[in-house]
Amino acid sequence: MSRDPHTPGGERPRGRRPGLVGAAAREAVAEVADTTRTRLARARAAAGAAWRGRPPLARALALAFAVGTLGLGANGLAWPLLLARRLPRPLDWAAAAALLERDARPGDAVVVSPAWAERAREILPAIAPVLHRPRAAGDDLPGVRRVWLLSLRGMPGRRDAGSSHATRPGALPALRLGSLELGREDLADPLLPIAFLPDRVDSLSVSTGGADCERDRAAFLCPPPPAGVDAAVREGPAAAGPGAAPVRVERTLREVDGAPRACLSVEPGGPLGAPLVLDFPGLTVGRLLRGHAGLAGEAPRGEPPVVRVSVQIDGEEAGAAEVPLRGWAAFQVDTTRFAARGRDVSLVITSARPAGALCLDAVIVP
Amino acid sequence: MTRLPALLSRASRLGRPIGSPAGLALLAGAALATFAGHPYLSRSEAAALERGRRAAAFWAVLPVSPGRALAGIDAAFAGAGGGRPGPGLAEAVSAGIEALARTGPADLRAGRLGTVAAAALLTLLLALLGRAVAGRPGGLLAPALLWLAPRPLAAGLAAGPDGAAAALWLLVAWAYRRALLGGERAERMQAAALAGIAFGLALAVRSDALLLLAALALHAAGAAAFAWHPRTPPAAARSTGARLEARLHGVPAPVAAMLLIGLPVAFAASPWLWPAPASRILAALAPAPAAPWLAGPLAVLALATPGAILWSWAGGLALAAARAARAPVRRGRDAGAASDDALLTALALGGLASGALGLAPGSAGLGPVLPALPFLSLLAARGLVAAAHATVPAWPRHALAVLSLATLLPGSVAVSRARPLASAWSELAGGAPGAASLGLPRQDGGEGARGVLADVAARARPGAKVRFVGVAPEAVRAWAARGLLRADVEVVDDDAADLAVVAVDGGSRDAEYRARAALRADRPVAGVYVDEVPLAFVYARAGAWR
Repeated sequence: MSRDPHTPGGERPRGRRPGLVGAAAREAVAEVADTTRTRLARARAAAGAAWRGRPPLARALALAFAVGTLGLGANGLAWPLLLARRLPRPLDWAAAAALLERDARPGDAVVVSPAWAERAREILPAIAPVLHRPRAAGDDLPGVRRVWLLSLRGMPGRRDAGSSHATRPGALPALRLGSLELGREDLADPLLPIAFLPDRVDSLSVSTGGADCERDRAAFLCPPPPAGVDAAVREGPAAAGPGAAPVRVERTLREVDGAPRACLSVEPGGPLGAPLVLDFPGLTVGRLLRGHAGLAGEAPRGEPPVVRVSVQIDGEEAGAAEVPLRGWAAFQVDTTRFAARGRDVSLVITSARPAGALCLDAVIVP
Repeated sequence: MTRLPALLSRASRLGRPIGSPAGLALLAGAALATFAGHPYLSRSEAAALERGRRAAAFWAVLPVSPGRALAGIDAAFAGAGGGRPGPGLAEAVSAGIEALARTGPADLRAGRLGTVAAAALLTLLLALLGRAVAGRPGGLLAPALLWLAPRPLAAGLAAGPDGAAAALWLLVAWAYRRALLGGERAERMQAAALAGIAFGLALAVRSDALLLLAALALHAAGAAAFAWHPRTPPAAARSTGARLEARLHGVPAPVAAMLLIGLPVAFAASPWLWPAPASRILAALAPAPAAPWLAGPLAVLALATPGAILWSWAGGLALAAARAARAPVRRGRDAGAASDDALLTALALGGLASGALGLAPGSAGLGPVLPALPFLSLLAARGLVAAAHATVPAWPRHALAVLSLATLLPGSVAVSRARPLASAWSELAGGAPGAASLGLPRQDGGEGARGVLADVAARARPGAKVRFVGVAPEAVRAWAARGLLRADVEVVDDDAADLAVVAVDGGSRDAEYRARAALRADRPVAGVYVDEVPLAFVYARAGAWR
């Protein structure tokens, strides 16, 4: 059947006739394109006129210089006011202290961000000691169950105040206390040691080469190594011989790897004439002895010196570690087969090369 | 109201002497001398004072007992902590002034008067050169651009060689310029001789002044190549000056004077060189070990200078460098201006290079690059004046006033906030909090501990023993002499202390931690803070703090 040529629309080309929507869309596209073309032409004309009427290069540079001067001047004047608004007021600190006084409990610690905001150490209650920032970033936190995160909002250097340890649900969301923010994380797997060996200094005895070191109040003074003990001795500042300083062992706080470390320090460092033996009697031994060693003060350049730490329990060696003294180096000895109460634990330290003041800690992990 | 113009005119006439170079120098000297007695004494400043006293004692003994004096040269001019000997003329002169003016150990102003005198000379020369290169407003702007920033002002108040070095660098530049541009031949020869003597003294103050010779030789070569200065007519060839000039075979008289007069003057004024001149000169010119870039003087310059002033310094330097670079194209046109541009640019870059290459002595903060700052201030003044004229040609004076205020006001506010602490950081570093976050030094060396003395006086138990950690012993003596420490408080330096006052300067804190451990104190009992950044803490043994 063919189409009737007399019916309306019969002579139109074949195909679907565009509907109302299509026609409107085509119109709209054409309109937009037209408008865009017109506007582009106008903009080109305006830009051309502006370019033709541009100031000479020297004047343009002078204008830029003047605008920069005015802008930086205004910024310089506003800066002290902006900073003053961001700084915490005494009331903010008092609120944080009151909150911690009320809610903190033994096993809590505070991490401050930015790390330089150490007014917290002066103001916050003693029940929640302030940890140095690097210590919270992946270091062991012996004895800490919960970490309070105190941050100064809007301050340069403020980082995500998370403790970087696995946490468990139930943490306190951050509270705003003026310019301060205080939150809490509960550690999922806190390290709760049986003993922190530097704190056992009262029962500690120290010997070297079979001779006991003399106790001098809280420290031990050991005889210096004899001359010519080791060829390496000649390199060291603590070279042995008449008049050499005694080796001093004490429980102290030293800076290692940019953070304060409570440790047993051995000073002056350097090669020991004979192994240094630290005896801790009557300890409960668990499955692990974990420790750290590092050099106090500035880090040495080049290859780090190495110390050997041997762990002896009731006179038998449970294990040993060669610890390169780069940063706050960790070591660990499995003591599972010795786990029991009333054990005598000895750390035997041998250094083969000259070193600075040695800082050493260890915990017994249940 | 009708009398107002007359009153303004009268006030302007009365204020004119203050705006003159000499008036500005007197004003700056008087202001600095007024503030120079502050008790914030850093370790580096205490070391400079001690070094100056040793050097002054050498000069005092030399005429009386030359043998004894010469035997002790190395000890007299040894660096800090018994380091290798080095120049010490500025410190010796300061110590001499201190010996004349001293009124007791409490008066730290006496030890700083030498630096204040150098700062006054610097102001005078800045005003003179500012007028010469940027007109009357330049004479006011150039000193203001230098002194209304916290760090240069602190350098003008602290004993040490850097202020004197900056003044002598500028004196050499001023004399060199006069020797090239001055009218009469005799006048030019006198200026050349002055440039030579000032160069010698600059070398005896800081050995990096040798860069002056390099910068000025370069400028002289440029001046000859591009005919920046008129050649001397040979008519007066019979005079002594003319005969001398003829013998120089084209070498500019001031450069020749720096070689022929300056080097002997430097040798005579530098006893530390006498035992082994060649090896010690080489040792002095060896660059210092590279510091971390953030602790270097250029980084300090960028992060401690208020943004608007830094911008004006950079803009002025860029403008002058661009003009100097165009000199070959514009041969002969604006010869004087091109010469000034090249001269100031060369000297500013020379001063900056000295700090960047480690040729300058290792002073704290901006000290190593301080000689560059007057030249940068001159260039900035020149740039601001030029910008005001180019931006608003109809009202250049109004435009200059607005630009000057925008540049100088933030610096003035920063000065008032920072004083008398020397270690201010600008808004570009984020102030003290930003600088602490970047690990930059919080103070020059222990001077911030002054801020806790009132607490110690109020709350230390009677007869307490106090240990100062990271603080210059000289500063502690001065505080005690001023009565800032209670009479019954005993200063000790061992673990027997009841209290420890510990300065926190951004460096190693091992000594602080040991002091804490000795006191068995985990937390401070008092502290001094700048924008929440701690500068000092007090730790106390149990029962020692009331």
